[in-house]
Amino acid sequence: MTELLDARGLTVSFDDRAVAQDIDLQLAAGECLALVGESGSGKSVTARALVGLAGPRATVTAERLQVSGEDVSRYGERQWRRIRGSRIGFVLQDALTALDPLRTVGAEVDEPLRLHTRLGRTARDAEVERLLTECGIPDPERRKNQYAHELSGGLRQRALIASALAAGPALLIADEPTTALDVTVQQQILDLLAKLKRDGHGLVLISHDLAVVAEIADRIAVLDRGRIVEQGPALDVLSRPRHEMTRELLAAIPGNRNAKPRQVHRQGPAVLSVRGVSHRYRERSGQYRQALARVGFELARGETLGVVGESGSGKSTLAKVILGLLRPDSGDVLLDAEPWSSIGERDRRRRRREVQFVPQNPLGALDPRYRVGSVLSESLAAIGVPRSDRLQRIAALLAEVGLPPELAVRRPSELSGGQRQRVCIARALATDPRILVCDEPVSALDVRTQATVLDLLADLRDHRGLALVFISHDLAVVREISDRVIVMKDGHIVESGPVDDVFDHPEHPYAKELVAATPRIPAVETR
Amino acid sequence: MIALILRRVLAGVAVMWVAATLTFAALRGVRGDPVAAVLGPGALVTPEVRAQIVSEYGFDQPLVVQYLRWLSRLVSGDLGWSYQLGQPVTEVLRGQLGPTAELAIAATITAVLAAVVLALLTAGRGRTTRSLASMAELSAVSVPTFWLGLVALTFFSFRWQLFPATGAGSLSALILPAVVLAVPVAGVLTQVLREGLETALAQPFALSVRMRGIGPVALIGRHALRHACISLATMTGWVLGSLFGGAVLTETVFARPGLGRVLLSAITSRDLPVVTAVVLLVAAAFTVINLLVDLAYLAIDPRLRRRTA
Repeated sequence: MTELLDARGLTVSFDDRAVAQDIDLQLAAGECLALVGESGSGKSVTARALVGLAGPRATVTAERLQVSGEDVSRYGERQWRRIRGSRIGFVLQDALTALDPLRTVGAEVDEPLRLHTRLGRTARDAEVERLLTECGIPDPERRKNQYAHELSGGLRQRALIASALAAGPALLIADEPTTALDVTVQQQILDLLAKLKRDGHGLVLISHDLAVVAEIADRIAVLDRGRIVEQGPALDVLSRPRHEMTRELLAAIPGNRNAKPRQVHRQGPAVLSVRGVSHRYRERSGQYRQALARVGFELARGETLGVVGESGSGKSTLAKVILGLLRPDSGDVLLDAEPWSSIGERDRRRRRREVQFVPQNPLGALDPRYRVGSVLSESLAAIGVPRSDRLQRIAALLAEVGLPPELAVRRPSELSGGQRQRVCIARALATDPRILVCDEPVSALDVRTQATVLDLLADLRDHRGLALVFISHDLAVVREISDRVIVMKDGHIVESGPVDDVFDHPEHPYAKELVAATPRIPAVETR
Repeated sequence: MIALILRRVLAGVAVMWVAATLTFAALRGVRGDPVAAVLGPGALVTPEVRAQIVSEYGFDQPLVVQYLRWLSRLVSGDLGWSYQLGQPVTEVLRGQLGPTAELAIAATITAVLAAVVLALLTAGRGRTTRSLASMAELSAVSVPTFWLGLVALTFFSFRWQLFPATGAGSLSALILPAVVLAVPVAGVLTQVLREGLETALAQPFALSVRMRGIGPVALIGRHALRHACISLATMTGWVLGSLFGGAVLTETVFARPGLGRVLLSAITSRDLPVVTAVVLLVAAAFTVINLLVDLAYLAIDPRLRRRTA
């Protein structure tokens, strides 16, 4: 009996509305099945239905639902609890919130052991350390007594995986396990999952990104609006996609699509000059951490500078300095060759409209109680647009970012992720800026939405002649939109130059590592 | 960690210093003759007593000297003399602090226990249960304390004679006032705790826990309750502190001694030395309680323990 999972005709509905329909999934030991689709395609709810946790209001039906050869289709909550953790392990997205922040990671890994095994305290203790080691956490005696917030993103994701594996489930379901992580760390977690697969675990991997699953999936099922529209061996699906949705998902992968040829190139003198900027923060321990070390570059109208590096490399500090929100310890930022970072806030405020910001998380960056119209109106008022003109300007701004005018009366919670980011872009455009600082503007978005937002930013840059500072940990995204790029590590620029040169011939070891870690689909035809 | 606790203790001392300074300012801010202010209205005293007050408070000295003398007297535990009652202020308060602390602590414990039970029973339940619960909580919060006290007296003391109607010093005399005082507090705390529980249960880690096969009891007991206790600690500290000076109605209804009643009568008779002493005492209670709440935070949430020292 190697069949770990056998689902036929699985249907999940909320109030008679099916969010997943006629799902067929089979998985054997040592195999990886990827469930791929956009947000809202029904992939997460399908996965949750496989452990009986689709939600209290969900109705789950299936012609057949077997886990390790056992029929679970009529299971009650008590029976489900017996197999959760022991037969099926589940890994969620972000370990910082998916592990109890008030308990040590050791206690979290220990919990399934206490429940599902008869091991005594010392035996469990040894088992926790073994599990942490198995998941690639060095120094487990020390790590098990630490809390999630004390571990790096990669280590705590490993700890989360260890807690899912603790009671020895043969089947592991991972729902976007690398989405919150940097590229290099993502690669390490994918390697860990591949190792678990080789060790004989069956793996269901859920992602919105085909490039991420390409490396380890044996089979891929593509979901669209609650149905599996295509399922087959990974190579077939990736190289000979039959369904439109699969083709679109493949085409949306940054670096994989035919980006529009650039229309406008660098024009005229620098609008933004960053010269030898250094900044350091004082940490709690009393030591100083160098966030920026002699960083410098110039940026002209219509030009995009990509800024890459992993978390903690100083990218966001650089954004704050450019936005004039943080005064650097030394060095200068100039706007049109006039002082910007060194002047007082009163003088700077008059020119703030020229430098605007596009955030990573649009839901957090919009006041939940403001309607879209009020959000834009506030920015228009800030630059003195009379009330009588604002409605018209709002409609024009919405049109410019590709949103219908009706959206002006909606609240952020009533918009999709892509629409929210477009609202944030419209807000940035409202003051008629010359420089746009985008801090990870697409990393919270689905691959397909990501592609459309990138196109929008490129269009705006070309039509308005904006200078773009584009910060991201994702090389493929940066490559697609940037003219030049700087690679940052520990506050230093370790490599810079035209984007193709840097990515095709990286010289610094760290730049090489970044390029190598970017998920890629080998030999794919998109059309 | 130790450095952190030490810093909180120092902050507490600073708060007490500010409170002492403010009461001093209030005392000297009274318009007219400061001696008359200390004496209160209607006190007939000999010139010798007046002279004694002047020298005791240093009214003939510069303001700085008066201030320093005020601080040093407070530090040595001398709260002055109540000319209205004709005895030292410490003597006036001696018998009051005990019953007040007893009542405040008993009421808070009762309220916390009730809140924990009620919140556990109602958190994450269906719409009917929850709307019934929040209706009950709203009633509990809005019921007037003196009315509740009188009703409790009528039934439990006079009709059924289960508890004494007045007095202090015994456990049975403490039960009725403590419960009456706890009712509105429990209403507030239940809401705070239930919301805390529901917020915790909606977090991703709760899903992780359930995906390990953990049942609802262990999920709440081992995980969610601890998260909810953070906001509960905040509220409890605030309530306990305010009960030290603010249990007047209950104390009056049940004819119990206590700081609240002393404060009330001191205010009505303008007995300034007693008023300032009670204010300082309540401030001290708040400071100590807040220190305990801060320590509770550190015990509950490891994210607040910083790696200093």
